[in-house]
Amino acid sequence: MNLYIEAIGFGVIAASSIALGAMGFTLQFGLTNVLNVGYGATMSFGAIVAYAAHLTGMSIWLALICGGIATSGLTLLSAKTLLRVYAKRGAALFEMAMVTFGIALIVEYAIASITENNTFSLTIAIEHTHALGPIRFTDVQLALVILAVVVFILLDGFLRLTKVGTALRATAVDPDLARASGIATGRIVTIAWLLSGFLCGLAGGVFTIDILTVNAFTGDSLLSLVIVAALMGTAGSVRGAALAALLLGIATQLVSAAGASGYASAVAYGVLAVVLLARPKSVQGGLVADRVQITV
Amino acid sequence: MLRPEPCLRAAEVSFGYASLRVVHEASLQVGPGETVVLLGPNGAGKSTLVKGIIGQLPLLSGTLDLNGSDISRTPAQIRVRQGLGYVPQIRDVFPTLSVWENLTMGGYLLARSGIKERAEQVIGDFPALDRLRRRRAGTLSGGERKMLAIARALMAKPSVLILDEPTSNLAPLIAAKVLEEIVASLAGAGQAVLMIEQRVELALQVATYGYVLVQGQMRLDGHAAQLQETEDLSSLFFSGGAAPLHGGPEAATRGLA
Repeated sequence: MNLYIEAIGFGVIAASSIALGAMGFTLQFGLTNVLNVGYGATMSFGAIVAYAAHLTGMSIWLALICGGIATSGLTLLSAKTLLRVYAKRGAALFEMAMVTFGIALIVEYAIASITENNTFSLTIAIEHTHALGPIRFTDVQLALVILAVVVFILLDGFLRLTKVGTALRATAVDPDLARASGIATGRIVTIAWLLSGFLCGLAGGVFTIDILTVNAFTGDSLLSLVIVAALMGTAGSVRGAALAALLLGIATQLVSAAGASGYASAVAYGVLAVVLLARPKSVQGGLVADRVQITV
Repeated sequence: MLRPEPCLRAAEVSFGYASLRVVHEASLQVGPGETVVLLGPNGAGKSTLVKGIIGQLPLLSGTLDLNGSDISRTPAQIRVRQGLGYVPQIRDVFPTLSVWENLTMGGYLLARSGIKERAEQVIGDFPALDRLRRRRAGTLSGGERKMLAIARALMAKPSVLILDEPTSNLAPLIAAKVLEEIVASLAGAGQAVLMIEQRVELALQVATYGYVLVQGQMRLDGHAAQLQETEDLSSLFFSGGAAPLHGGPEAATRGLA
C-alpha cells in the first residue's frame, strides 16, 4: 500500500514538468490553432540551454530561467518566420502540424550535432530529504513542485486579472471579435508565442532536473504527456491543463508502481480517449466552434 | 425633414471577395441621433457592405469618411479607435468570458484607469446587466446576450454603432424588445446607429432613415415613415431585386427624401 502512496508523491513531482509544458502548449494551441508537434524539440532546446548555463557556474534555478528565455526566443522566431510563411499560404491544421514537425527535426538534429549526440548527467547536491508519511522527497523535488504551483498561480492571475491577459483569452475565443473590439491581436499573439515558449523551455529544464539527464531528444519523452494533459484540460484552458497534468502524473506513477511502467504512456492515451469520447470539443483550438483560423 | 450632418459617409463604395464584386457603388450616410436601417433580401450584399465599412473587406472603389476623415484604406483596428463600433450578427460576445470581462474588452482602447468607470456607466444604461456581471456570457439568454453585445460595443464610445441583424435568432417578443427599447434608446441618446435588419416593419418603426440594397445596388432610400408607405417595398424583396424600383440604380442617388 505504501508503494502506491509513494507513487502518488512521485506523481505530483512528475506533474510539475507536465503541467508547465501543458500550460504552455494549451496557451499556444488555444490562441494560434497551431498544433505544435515539435513542442518536444523546443523543450529539449530549453533543457540543453539550462544545462549549458548551469555548466558555466550559474545556479540551476537561474539556468532554468535562461532556458525559458532562450526557448521563448526560438519559439517566436519559428512562429514569425516558417510558420508565418505557411500560414500566409493558407496552410490548415494538419499542414501546420507537419511544418512544426519539420522545425522539430531541424532543432533536434542541430542540438544532436552540436552535442555530438551525447547524453549528459546533471548532478545536484541534495541537502535535505523530507518525509510526508510514506512519501519521501528532496529539497529539489519540493522546489520543482513549488515552482510549478507558483507559475500556475502567476499565469492564471495574469490571464484573469490583467487587461492583456483577458485580451489573450478573448483573442483565443474569437480573434475577429477581438479585432472589432480594437484589440491589437497581432501583438497579443506575439505575447502568446513568447509566454508559451518560456513555459516550454521551463518545462524542459524542470524535467531534466527531475530525471537528472539531458540530450537532444529529452523533450520527446515528455511530449505525449504534455499534449494529452493540454487536450484533456480543454485546449486553451490553463486551469484544465494544470489539473489534467496532476492527474496524469499520478496515474502514470501508479501504473509504474504496479509494475507496468512500460504502459504509463498507454494509460495517458487511454485517459485521453475516454475524455474525448465524453467531451469531443476538448481538442478545439481557440475554443471556436465552427472553424479553425490559424493565427501566427 | 433634414438629416443631421453625417459622421459616417460611404460614397459609391464597392466591396467583394477576390474577383467577385458583391456591392456596386453604393452610397449611404449616418448622422448623430439617427437610426439608419439597411434593408434588402437575402444575398443582397448587406453584410458585405457592413464588413467593408468596418474594414474586414478591402474597398474596391469609392470613398469612406468617418467624422470627416478618409478611412478608405484604414485598417479595421484603427477604424475602431477612430469611432466605429460593431456588433456582429453571430459570435457577438466572448462566450467564455464573464459579462464584466466582455465589457472591459469592449473598452480595450480606453485608458486603463477609465475602463472600470466606463463599464459602470454602460451598466447604468443597461441595468439588467448589473446582476449578471460575473456570469459567463455564453450562458446568457438571447436577449441578454444581445444587450451585452451592444453594451460591449458602446464601451469604446463609438461615434457610429453598426448592428448586423441584432434580432436574428431571437424570439419575436425579445426581438421587438431589443429594437424598441435598446436600439431606439441609443438614437435617443444621440448615438448614430447603422443597422442591418430582416424584420422590415419593426425596423422601420424604430429607424429614422432607411436604405434598400438589392443585388448589391442601392435601389431605394428615404425617411423610415416614407419607406413604410412605399407599396412596392415588399415586391422589391420578393422579386429578389429583379424588378428595380423607381427606375433602377439611379434611384439610389435620387432616393425618396
